[in-house]
Amino acid sequence: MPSDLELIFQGSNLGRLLGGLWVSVWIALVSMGASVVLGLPFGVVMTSKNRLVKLLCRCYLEFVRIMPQLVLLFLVFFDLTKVAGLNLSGEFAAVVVFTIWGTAEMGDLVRGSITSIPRHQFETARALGMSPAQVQRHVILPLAVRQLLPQTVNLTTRMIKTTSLVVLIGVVEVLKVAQQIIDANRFQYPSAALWIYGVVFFLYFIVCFPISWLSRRLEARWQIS
Amino acid sequence: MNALLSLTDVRKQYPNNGVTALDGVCLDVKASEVVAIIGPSGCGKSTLLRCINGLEEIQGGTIRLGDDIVSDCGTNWRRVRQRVGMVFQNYELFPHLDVMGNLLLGPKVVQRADRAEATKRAQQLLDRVGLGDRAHSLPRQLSGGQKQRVAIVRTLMMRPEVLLLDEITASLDPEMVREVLDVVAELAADGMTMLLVTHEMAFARAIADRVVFMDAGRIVEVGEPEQFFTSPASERAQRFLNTFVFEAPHKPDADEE
Repeated sequence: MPSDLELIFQGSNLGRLLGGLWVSVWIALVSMGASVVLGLPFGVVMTSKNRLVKLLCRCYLEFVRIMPQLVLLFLVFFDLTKVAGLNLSGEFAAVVVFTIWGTAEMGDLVRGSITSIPRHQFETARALGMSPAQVQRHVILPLAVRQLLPQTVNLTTRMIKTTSLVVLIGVVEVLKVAQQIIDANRFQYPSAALWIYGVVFFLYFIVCFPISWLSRRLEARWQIS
Repeated sequence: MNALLSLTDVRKQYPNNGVTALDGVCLDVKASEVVAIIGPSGCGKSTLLRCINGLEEIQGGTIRLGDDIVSDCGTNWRRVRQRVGMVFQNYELFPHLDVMGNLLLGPKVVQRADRAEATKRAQQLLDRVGLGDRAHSLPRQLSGGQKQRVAIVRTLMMRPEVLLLDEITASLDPEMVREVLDVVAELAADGMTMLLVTHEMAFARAIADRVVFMDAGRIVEVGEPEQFFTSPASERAQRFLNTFVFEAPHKPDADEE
């Protein structure tokens, strides 16, 4: 029944949904920012030739990748709280977990884009008389960034979508707000679930689509080979 | 006249596997001279060019450029490399810059050249190699032959005294080899000093003032092209040149006539 759609515009429902969306986006963006800051140096470290360093980086990356993000969330939110006696808010725990995950993924992207630059590019620039710093600044860095940016944007959308998990550690984000609205109006608007979740879907789309569109644009424009 | 580029007893050993790539190479190149280095794969000819440009460190001997010894440990390679330009087999244009960007990067960053002047010169050189209308193309939009011509111009932008060409036609499709070699021939006619490693025997014969034959890290034979290609003095050079001669398989009925 289409009239159930009107539930969204009743009271402060739409505002609450948008507020919930903001929580999701906020957690994702803060985590992503921290992941970029930590992931850049981590990626450079990952290109190290030292086998022990390589092994440790690899362990960290694989551990974070294999472990479902939800388990990580529970580990930090419930177990860390108990073991270390910390009282973390759900939001903070979420940011910590997504930063741990994002740093690993970001590092791997940075490593990939550095190692994919052919050695000859370096030599050619040197042969023109550039200093190592000039080569980094004018050749290696622009190439690495071109490769990195679309992938970073892509990781951001993945992160936004994954934030829906934080509902399970009690953070009231867009999905939780949707559930609350649906539950509170179950008898009056029996088919509200469809409409409300539809709106949530639409909200995620509105946030993620421009980002992934931008990433595709950049990729096409900066394609180098 | 003194040699512009002079190598004395140059030795190079790769530290990781202990392979001796250059085993006492002596060679003088005079100004405006074109010297072609030929020899079997792995004979050290590319390594020799890389050593002259400081991309590889030498373990012994001296390399002189004009009156300066450039093989000391205190060598300012950045300065030397501006005097000795190098073009590589795989062009290696910077993929994120257009043709003009590729040409201006060296003058801009290394020589702090005046931008307008450098742009003008770049356009003149592009016109000369037949790419005047390609200044704003990206490397990926060019053919291999066009890329290699841009790479040559990029090196010329630094106004080098000597040009090192390292198998610059080896990665090209056969129909593109000519357009690149024409550019090199024109440079030779202009009096550019060049040291080139090549597998194009006909080209070496046509353009070189001298041919250097290397094998196993040593110079085996040096000669005038005509003399070298028709009657090489050493048996190794003879054998090497024979590998380029293709003889039709023996046909019995042709024998009977």
